[in-house]
Order: sequence, then structure tokens, then C-alpha cells
Amino acid sequence: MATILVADDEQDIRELVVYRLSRSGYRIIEARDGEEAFQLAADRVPDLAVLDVMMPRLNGFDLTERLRHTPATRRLPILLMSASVQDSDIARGFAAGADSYLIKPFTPEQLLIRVRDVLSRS
Amino acid sequence: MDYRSFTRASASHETVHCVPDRLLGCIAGDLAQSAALACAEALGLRRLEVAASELQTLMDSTDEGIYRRDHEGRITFINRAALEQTGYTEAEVLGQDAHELLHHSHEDGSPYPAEQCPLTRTMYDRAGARFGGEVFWRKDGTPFPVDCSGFPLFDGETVNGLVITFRDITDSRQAEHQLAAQYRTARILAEAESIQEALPRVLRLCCDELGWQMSLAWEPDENGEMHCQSAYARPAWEEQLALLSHESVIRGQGAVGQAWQQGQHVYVPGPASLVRPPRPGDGLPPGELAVPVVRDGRVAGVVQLIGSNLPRGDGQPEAIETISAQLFQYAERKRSDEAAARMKDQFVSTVSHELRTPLAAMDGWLHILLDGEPGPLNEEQHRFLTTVKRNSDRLMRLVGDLLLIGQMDAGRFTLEMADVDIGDLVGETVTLFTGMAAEKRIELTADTGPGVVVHGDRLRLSQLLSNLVSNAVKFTPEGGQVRVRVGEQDGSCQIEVTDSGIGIPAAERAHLFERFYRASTATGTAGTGLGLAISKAIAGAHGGTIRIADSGGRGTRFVVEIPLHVAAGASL
Repeated sequence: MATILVADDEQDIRELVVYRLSRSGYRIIEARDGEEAFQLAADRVPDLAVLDVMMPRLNGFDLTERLRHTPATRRLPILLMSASVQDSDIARGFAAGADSYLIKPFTPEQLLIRVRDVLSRS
Repeated sequence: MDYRSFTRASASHETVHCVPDRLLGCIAGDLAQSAALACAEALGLRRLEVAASELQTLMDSTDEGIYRRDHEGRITFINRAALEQTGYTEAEVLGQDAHELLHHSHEDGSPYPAEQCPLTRTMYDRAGARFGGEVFWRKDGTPFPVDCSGFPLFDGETVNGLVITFRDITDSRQAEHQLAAQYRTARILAEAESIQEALPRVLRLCCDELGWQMSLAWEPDENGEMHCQSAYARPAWEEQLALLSHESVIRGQGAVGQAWQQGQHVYVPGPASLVRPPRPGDGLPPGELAVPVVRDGRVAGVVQLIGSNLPRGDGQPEAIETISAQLFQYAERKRSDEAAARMKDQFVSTVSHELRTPLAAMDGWLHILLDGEPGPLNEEQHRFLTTVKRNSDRLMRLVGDLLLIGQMDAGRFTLEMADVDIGDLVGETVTLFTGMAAEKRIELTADTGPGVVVHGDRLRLSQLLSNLVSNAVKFTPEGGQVRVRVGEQDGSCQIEVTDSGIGIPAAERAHLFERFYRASTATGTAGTGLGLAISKAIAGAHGGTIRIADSGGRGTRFVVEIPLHVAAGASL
């Protein structure tokens, strides 16, 4: 089963994502901020990264860009999550190199569908 | 008054003899001279001396310029006010051709042939007349606008001269132009989107209203040079302006540099700043004015005006200062508007994150609990959690509405256009509220007829319909009816939502689409007062309208009209 890196500084959201995905059989790596997420992604090279945008230390946009410029994670599928519905933010996420963008709030089922979709494309 | 003592006190022995000579020759004309001679014989010279002196005093005491010219146009008398206004001495004008001396050119500097002079014409018309719109010329070569009149003098049936009176109307005319300039500036600024758009128009009106050939706005850069930000010239001066506006100005250099250095307006009575010296025949009147725009104690810019007939730029610095103050206030207002828009943007993003994130966590966990994934729920647990979920959904909708309003205000909301079958959309919306209607035993029906397709944003149109249907169900008592009808009329898709509910008082209908407005009859029903404001904005973004139609005294009937063909890419 695929390994998924889940990064969100909001513990309640992170746990929710982890609960849903682990229940569906995925192996999970958790990160509490952007820097930690970058280290874990570079060290362990998961099959997918589910990253929050508004994180301390390194935000999701910059983290995505950095992962795209790091050889080990250049092709890592990235799903960004954000509460922002502004077109400019969504565009920025894709410009940084994200594969998909999920707007909060989302139901656990919507998350699962999106995760499967991104994994199947990679 | 004792005339004898006045004459003794004011006139020397010599003037007693010379005054009557001059006056007899000049003022009263030949007719008066003969009359005076006759009078002199009859009444005695002494009496005449007094009368003549009195007349001279009278002439000199008025502020109206008065001169007399003989039938050949030569000046034979001129009063104190006329000399003061024209800058000549009496000796310089007596015997000179009046038209050639004082009235030789039009305001724009072109020659004014004597035969076209309306003052001269009064001699042929044999009747006095008043004239506006004329200019007289001073000894120093500057013109001034006058109101004037000419009255022919008769010797029996023969016209043998003309008395001309005139008044310098520079002040009142400038005041009129300045007021007009300020008024027009205010109008330009009311219409303009930005200062960059307004500036060239304001510079143009400075030329039009204040009588200049060219106007330039200069702004200092951080390297201590001023550059032209915007400029206007009357057509004949565009070439000169192009040269001038590409120059840069250093402190203290030229009229602009001096105004910058001194913080005071500078008037130069010649076209000092011209890059190319004026050529003969250019017809450029002299005079250049540079007015500093002082803000918070420093010179933030200079307005330069070149080529005016107006003497010394009287009153003009004040007018320019007023106009630049108007421009500055406008620029500051724009800046604060932009700051407010940025704050609103910031607020929208804060609402986005800070409110939606905890709601997202609540919502997600509720989903997981209600799905029974961690374990089965008993009936009561399920009911309680459903209540929590319903309220969390409501909060989420409110946050969504606020967010949408914020995006509309920030101009950041765009429609995703596609062909939308309104019949389908109404069907879906009605299905969505069937449960809610059934709980209140409300008969909810949709009459969608043949497919009506509009070009629009499906999500937003669905939001509009949901707002109307949910309002209708909410405000209709148990056992009532809600009907949704879709039709096509005059190139528009028409959607009607009619209910048999509590109705809306006529007086409140106009306010119903305002934000946070809630009808007095809406008490006891949950709502934010944003739904209809958003619905109206959505309809408007599609080029359509929403209104409350007459429903015959019972219930409420909303009518939405969306044009079938609307330009793509419209935004709220």
C-alpha cells in the first residue's frame, strides 16, 4: 500500500486526514510544519504528499516549490489543502507545482477520492 | 461747498487760465467750446473756471477710464483712471490715434483693423453702445479685458468725436474662470478612475479656463530632479511641449526650479523656459507661471503654465493652488480607498482561514462519527450529532456568504461561464428542499417546461435559486405552497418563486436586497440578511435582475430574469 506524507500544523485537521487515510489502508508519515515535511519527504520519499498551505516555518507553496527543485522529490505527487477559495491562491498552488488542490472544508470521502485520483495519475 | 475757496486753495493762478483752455478744447468738444465762449461772455470767465475745474475733478474721481477722441480718432482728453489702467502719461497719449494706441490687437495678438472697431462704428451709427469681450493694451504690451462703451459727440447734425469709457474686468473675469476651473476639476475627479487619468484633463482645463497655451505637471524624483508627469498644449504648441516635457529640471533652474526651491509661485513675464525660442509669428503671448504644490511642508510637485495674455498672472497662483489641493485630496482619498480594499482583502483571507479551519475539523469529524466508522451510534446519539452537524453547516454557510460578499467588494470574484440548463437546475434545487418542505407539509412544485439554457456560472445560479427556494419554504407556514416556474420571455430566462407565506410589507421591499436587512415579518426565522444581497449580485453579474413582483396581497413572488445571451467573462 502507498505511503502518504500528511503535513498540517492544525492537529485536529491532521488527525482527521490521518484517520481517514490510515483507515483506508495507507501508510502515513506525519509532519507538523513545512520544514519537518520537507525533511521527511526528502528522507523517506513517500508516494504522495498531502500538504496544508498555511503552515509555520515553510508554507505549502514554498514547500511545493522546494520539493520540485529537489531531485529525490521532483516527481512526488502533491495534493495541497487550503481554506482559501481565492482564485489567486489556487493558481499559485498549481504554479508552484502541485498536482491537485483541495479546498477546506472537505468531507473525508472527498479527500479519499482526491487522494486516489492523484495516486492513480502518478 | 464753497467753489471760490476750493478754486483758490487748489489751483494756482496759472491753472486758472490754463484749465479752461484745456477743458474747452478737450472735454466738451467744439460745440461745448462755442457754448462756453458764449457763456464766458454772458456769465464771466470766473464762473466758467469754477465749472471747468469741477468737471475735471469729477472726471478724475471715477475709476472708470474715460477718453475723448476727435473725428479723426485722435485722443483729445483722457482721465486719471484711463492713464492708470493703460500705464501712459497724458503727454504720451494726447494727439495719438486712440485705436492704434489702446485697441490695436485682438486678445490672441492678431491685428484689429480700425474699421472693424465697434467703438468707431458708434460714430457712423450715431448712437452710443456698450461692448463686452474687448481687450485694451497697456504701454508695456500686455492686454487686459474690458467692458467699454462709445458715445458719439454731435456738433449740430455732425458727429465730431467720441467719448469712450472702459473698465478693467480682469478680476471679475478671472474669478469666473477660476470658479469654473475649480468646478470642472471637481467634476473630472468625480468621473476619473485614477489620478493618472484625471491629470491630463485637469491640465487641459487649466489652459482652457485660465487662458494659457501650455500646462505641465512636474514631480521630483529621488535624485533631485523634476520630471514632467503629464502635460497639455493647445494644438499650435504641441511641438514645443514635446521638447519641453522631455527635459528634466534641477532645483533653482528656470521658473519651475525656482518655484521648487522657494516653495513659492514664480511669475516670469516672458517665455523663459522654452527650449526653442519663440519665432516671430508664433503669436505666443508672454508670461510663464510656476506654482509649487506644497504638501506637509515640502514641495511635492510644480504646475507650470506657459503663454498667457493675463497680466502678472494675477489671482492665478491661488486658482492653481486650489486645483492642486483638489488633486491631492483626490489622490489621498484614492490611497485610503486602496488601503481599505487591502484591509478587506486581508479580512477575507482571515475569515477564510481562521473560521473555516476549525469548522472544517468539526465537519470532518462529524462526518466520520455519523458514518458510524468508529462504532455504531444509537438513535439518540445519531439525532444529537445530526443537530450539531446542521448547526455547523449553517455556520459554514454564513462564513461562505461573508466570504463571497468580501470577494465581491474586492472585485476578486469571477464567474465560471458555461451553458446551464435552468430547468435542470431548478429541478435539482427543488429536490434539495423537498425534505425541508415535507417537514412543514408544504407543497413544493416546479414547472420547468421546455429546456431554457443560459450562459452562466452553474454554481452561482444554483446558489441564487437555493436562496430563493429556501427563503420561500422558511417563510411559508405549515400546509402552504411554494411554486417555482421557469419560462422564456423577450430573450430572457424568467424564474418565478411564489409562496403562500407571510409576505413582505410593500414599504420594506426596496430594502430587501440590502445587506443584513431583514424584513419585520422575518422574526423567529434564522438568517443572516445576506442571501438576497448575494442573489441580487449574482443576477446582476449575469446581466440580469431580481425583483419582488406583486402577488395579489398574499405571500411573496420573486422574479429573476437572466438574459439568454450575455457576454462571457462578466464579473461581480
